[in-house]
Amino acid sequence: MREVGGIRCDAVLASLSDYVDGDLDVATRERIATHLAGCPECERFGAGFAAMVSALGQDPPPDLSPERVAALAALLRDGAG
Amino acid sequence: MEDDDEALLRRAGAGECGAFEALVLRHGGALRRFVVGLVGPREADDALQQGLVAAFRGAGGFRGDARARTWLFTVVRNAALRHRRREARHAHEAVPEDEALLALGLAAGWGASPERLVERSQQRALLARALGRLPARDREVVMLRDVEGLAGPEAAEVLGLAVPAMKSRLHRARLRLAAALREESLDA
Repeated sequence: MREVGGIRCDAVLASLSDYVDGDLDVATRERIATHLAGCPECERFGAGFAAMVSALGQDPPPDLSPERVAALAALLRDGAG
Repeated sequence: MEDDDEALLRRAGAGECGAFEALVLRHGGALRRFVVGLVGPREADDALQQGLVAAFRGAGGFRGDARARTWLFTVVRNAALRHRRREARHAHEAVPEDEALLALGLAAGWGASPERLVERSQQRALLARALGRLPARDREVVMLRDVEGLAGPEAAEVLGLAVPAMKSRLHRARLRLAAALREESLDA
């Protein structure tokens, strides 16, 4: 645990989601970027964390089967009648 | 011109089935994937059907304060939670809200010797299994924000949370996911 770039490792850990989501003010964002550039442990973990978050969003949802949509449509029409 | 989601939902609210079907064609796949995460694959189709019927019946109450997609996720989630309670197969899972971030980080491999979170994340099956290991409350926030790509305020709205509470839950859930990914690859 050390201070690099004016911010400690545990504070970087606490802010990682806000960092990868782009939810930080510019000054905090720059402090964390400086920390990551000078702290290999946090840099490695941060890169893995960001890769994990990004990988989660890479698969588009499978379409509903036409049979399922047709069954639902029939149900709605019956119910709406 | 293609109708936007909000226009379709308003038309559905006026009783137009076709408009609602168009919405289901657009968002049904994502809604089903979310429901699988909430109730499991075996119950998902029943729960989704109940949710979509409730959405069609309730569409007249859509006021346009939220996006139609957010509204659909909210209604379908409520139906899935009701379905889960009825099935009562899911024991209540206690998830400590205030577990120390440091402990979560250490379990996730933070500060440890060379980790391969990047490589593990690229293995879809591993990532899916790790997501399946999370408590349901963690899984749903990760699914809304990271898998389905809802914006922070939208995900907070679906979950009935203020944005800061949603963000805190999301951060802890992601750390638990990183830990689960680590455990999965140790088990493999």
